[in-house]
Amino acid sequence: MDREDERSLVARLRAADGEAFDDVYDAYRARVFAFLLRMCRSRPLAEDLLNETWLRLVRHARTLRDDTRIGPWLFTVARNLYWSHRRTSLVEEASAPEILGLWPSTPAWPSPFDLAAAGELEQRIEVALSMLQPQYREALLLVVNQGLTPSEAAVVCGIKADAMRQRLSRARAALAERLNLPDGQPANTRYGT
Amino acid sequence: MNHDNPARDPVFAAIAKLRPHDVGAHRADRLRSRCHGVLEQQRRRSVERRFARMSLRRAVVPAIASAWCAAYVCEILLRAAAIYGF
Repeated sequence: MDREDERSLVARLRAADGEAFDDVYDAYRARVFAFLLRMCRSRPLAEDLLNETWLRLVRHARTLRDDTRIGPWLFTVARNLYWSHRRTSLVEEASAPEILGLWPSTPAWPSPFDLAAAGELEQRIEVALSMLQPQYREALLLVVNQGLTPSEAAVVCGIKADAMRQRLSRARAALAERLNLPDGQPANTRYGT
Repeated sequence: MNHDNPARDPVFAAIAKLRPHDVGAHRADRLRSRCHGVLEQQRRRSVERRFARMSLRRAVVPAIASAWCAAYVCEILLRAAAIYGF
C-alpha cells in the first residue's frame, strides 16, 4: 500500500467509511493476530486483545491524523494492550497469590498441535521465540516477521531507532543462543534447511 | 556477520517465513460486524452533530441580524426626531 493509498484510506476511515474499514481489516487482521498470538502465547488472550485493537481503531477513527500509518498504528495499539494486560496480570499475581492455582492457567502457545503442524526448524524457532524476553520477542516479530522498518518498530515500541537496532541485534543473539547456534552462524548449517 | 541485514540472515529468514495465523472465520466476521456497528453509530452521531450545528446557525444568525436592524432603525428615528424637534 503506497503512501497516497494509505492517506486516502485514512481519510475514508475518518469519515467512518465501512468499505475502508474492510480494506484495513482484511489487510491487517491476520498480521496483528499473529503478532499478538506470539506475544501473548495464549490464543484466547490474543483473540481478546485483537478485538480490543480493532474496536479502538473504529472508536478513534475520527481522530486519526492525515499522515497516520495504519500498520504501525495498529501494532502500537496491540502492543500497548499486551503490555497493559501483562502489567495488570503481574500486579494481580503479586497481590493475590492465594488465588493462584484455583483457576486453570491459559494454555501455553505454541501448543503441541501447533508444533505438530510446523516443520522442525519452525518448531525450534517458535519455541525459542516464545522463551525470549518479550522486549526481544516484539522487536523480532515487528521487524523480521511483520516487515516493519526498524524506525517504524521503534515508534511502535516508543524507543529511538538506534535503540531498536541494538535491541534487534541482542534479540538475534539471544535467539541464536536458544537455538544453540553460535552468534552469526547460519541456521541452515545446523538444521539443514 | 550478516544479521544487520535481515534479508540475508538465515535466522531472520526463518522468522520471516513462520506460519501465518488468523482467527476463525466466524470470530472474524463477528468482529467485523461489531466494528461496522460502531462506525455506523459514529456516522449517525456525526450527522446529528452537523444538523444541530446547522440548526443553531439558522436560529442565531437571523436573530442577531434582526436585533442589529432594529437598533439601527431606532437610532435613525431618534436622530430624525431630534432634528425635527420632537
